[in-house]
Amino acid sequence: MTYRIRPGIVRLKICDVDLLVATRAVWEQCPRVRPIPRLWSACWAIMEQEGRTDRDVVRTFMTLLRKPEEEIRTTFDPIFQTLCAEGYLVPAEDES
Amino acid sequence: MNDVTVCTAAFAGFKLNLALRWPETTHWLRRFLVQNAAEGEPVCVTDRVLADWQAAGSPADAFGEFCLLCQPVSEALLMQRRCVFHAAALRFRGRAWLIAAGSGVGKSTQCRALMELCPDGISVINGDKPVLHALEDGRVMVYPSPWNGKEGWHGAEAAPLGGVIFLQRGGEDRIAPCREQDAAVCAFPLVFQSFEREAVIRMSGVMTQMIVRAGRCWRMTSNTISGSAQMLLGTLQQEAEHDI
Repeated sequence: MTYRIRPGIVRLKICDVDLLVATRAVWEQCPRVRPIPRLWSACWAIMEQEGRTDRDVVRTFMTLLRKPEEEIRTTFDPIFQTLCAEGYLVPAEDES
Repeated sequence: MNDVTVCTAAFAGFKLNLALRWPETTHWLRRFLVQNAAEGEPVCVTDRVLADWQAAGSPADAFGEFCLLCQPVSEALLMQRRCVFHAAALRFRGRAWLIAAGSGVGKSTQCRALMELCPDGISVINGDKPVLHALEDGRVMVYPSPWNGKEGWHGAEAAPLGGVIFLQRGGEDRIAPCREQDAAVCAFPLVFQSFEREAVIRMSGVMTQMIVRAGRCWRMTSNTISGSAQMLLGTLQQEAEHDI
């Protein structure tokens, strides 16, 4: 499955903690305020750019860390799955 | 909106024009009204917000408008390094101490207990939603506001922020310093805003950081009112000693 960011989520850094904040329009879909680890924030920063998906995150880290896709996916797929389960990411074909 | 009453109020030294559906709303704003108009569009309660309020079973009247004004006022203030913050604000030895807690946790009870313990030393700046102003030098000033809670507590002068106490109920009376990162997560939702616009959300984040960094932060659990109030007073006295 390919994931995109759900529109209406704002990534913030306050006092060195990264947060995802839901605008009112998506309060039904995900928690309003969620602290996230730095690595998750780095993934989000990549996916925030228009048209980007989880595949772009994986490609970026494959290049940075010089590791194969399988190994990168082992680390990052659980992140994408958690964020999707919580409502912050949506399957790329469905942004409702 | 038809037939609005336009007036001007000053919050933490910043003037805002307000467009009111009910002229009686000025009753609750009276201590903050000023003569000369401000620049800029008036702040108001929108039709949608009023409709949601009514849908939730609350009456659409002057008092409702007064309550609902808090959020758009806070959002207008955010652009000026100010905000409405959900906490009781006490004044002790020249500093403001914010006690933040969810509804029903015991914020007012705790404040009352503190004031009884120290009647000449503790006064109330605002019982529910003070206005905070982040100054350029890093201090945050805590001001009264018209939204002072069920008890209507107010009266003490503005003061620079000494710290924030995040209060919850628990099995023991305990207070401990709070990491800055944890304080930020606790404080962010207390800055009044609608969460409708990204720019406002980002300004709330900036304001939260300034608030947390302007003073000390503690997490406090309260099991007994008398025990926790004594403990909190002791903490505030220690902080005041450091200041001298």
